[in-house]
Amino acid sequence: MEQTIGETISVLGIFKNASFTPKKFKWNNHTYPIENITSIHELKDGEVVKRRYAVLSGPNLYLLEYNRQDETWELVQIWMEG
Amino acid sequence: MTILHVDLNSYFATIEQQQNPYLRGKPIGIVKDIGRTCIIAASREAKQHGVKTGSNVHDAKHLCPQITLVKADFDKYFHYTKRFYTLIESFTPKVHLFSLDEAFLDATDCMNLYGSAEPLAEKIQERMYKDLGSWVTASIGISKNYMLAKLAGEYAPKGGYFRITKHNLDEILATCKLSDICGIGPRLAEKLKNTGVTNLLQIRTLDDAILKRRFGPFWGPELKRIAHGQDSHLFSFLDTNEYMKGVGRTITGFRLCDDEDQIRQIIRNLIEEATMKTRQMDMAGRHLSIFLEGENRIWHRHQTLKYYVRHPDEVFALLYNGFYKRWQRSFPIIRFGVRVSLLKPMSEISGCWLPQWQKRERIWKAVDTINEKYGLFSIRPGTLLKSKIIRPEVTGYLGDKLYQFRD
Repeated sequence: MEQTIGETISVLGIFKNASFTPKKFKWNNHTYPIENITSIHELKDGEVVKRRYAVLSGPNLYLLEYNRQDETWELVQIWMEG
Repeated sequence: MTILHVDLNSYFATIEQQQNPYLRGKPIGIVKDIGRTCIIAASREAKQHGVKTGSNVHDAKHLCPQITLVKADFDKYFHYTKRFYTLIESFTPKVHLFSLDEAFLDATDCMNLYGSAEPLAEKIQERMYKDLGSWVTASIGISKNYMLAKLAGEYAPKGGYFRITKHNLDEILATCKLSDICGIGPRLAEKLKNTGVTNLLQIRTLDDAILKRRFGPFWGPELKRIAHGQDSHLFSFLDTNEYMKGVGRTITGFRLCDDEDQIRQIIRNLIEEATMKTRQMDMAGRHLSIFLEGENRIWHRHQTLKYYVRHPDEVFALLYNGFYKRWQRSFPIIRFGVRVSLLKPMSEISGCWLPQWQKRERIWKAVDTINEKYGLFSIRPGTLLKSKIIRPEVTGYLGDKLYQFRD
């Protein structure tokens, strides 16, 4: 089951070898450790490039979006098993 | 020659399963939007239940009640295609992207690096696992030409490879389905069967004149070549860098549309996209066509102009005001299509000197600049202000790859 969220979040990660790897994110005063990144893809609309990370934390899959123009993070969607 | 054909397995569904591990191992069907009735791609698990690309959702649920429907994300698929292309190109510069999920590699000149095609195929599989994800697999066909490499891919296991050599060629041609050959569609396969041809080897024994008479001046000799395992002419365009001949856009609605305003908006929207792509490639066309399809009926019109066009207002004036408004529409519409063809690069066309054309060109250049910066349809005609915008999407066969890869 999926749920669209669309809320701003904070993300902590490591920048190494010209690549950023998110490690945990904070949403609704709760910190979620990222156990696995299953997919990364980019979308472009005009000059705005957004990078989407599908990440596993606990039993859920989260879709995080980084807006490279605004340098902001958004939790786009949660996918829950069952 | 050593050619490899790399075909990503169950592409759209596999990418969704790569992103969402909870979908892995389960039957899933990709639909354009939730509520749509056509499955545009099926996972390998769904295929095992008989669900195919093009299956109706109702039928799919009957065949496989546990199927999960997933909304297509074309941006994501195209992003993966770009990564796939970059990956393949790192092995040899002679790469031809054949569709969104398949590519040919001409590895003839890099055999010294890899020894033979088999280790190269293994290296490609390894890199795919690492770069695209552990769930993404490809079938790799190897042979001496494009046609046989693609055919070999049909025999390759998921995540593996298969080679057609001179030793197994006759056996493969004798046992493969006629429709496994790229270019032999259902109609031609049917015609071959009606002629008594049930396998490709039989064509070798047929007289050239009979073949030509029965299948025409192109397919007669072509079938003879295929029967001998020679490359099909259909692949000759791979080595050319010709520009696109036409840009079209079609869309199938959720339901039959009988509303004049909505029909006008959809036609305008499709024209905006087709002409935008034409301008992005710095081209113009002089053949315009439109078709509208109802439940069982179709209406279409086309015209070849003596001059080139590339602005949506002039295309709309002809297709909508000229053709559509003169037609007494007698049925509701479910499928819409427009096309600008006989394209030529602007550098090969004498520019129009008419002041109104020059003015249009300046306006649309300004619109393109703004839309490139702020996103497509940031500036759009008033007709589309209140309607739901139909955005561009990539097609499986990537017919507009020259446009998509223009950067």
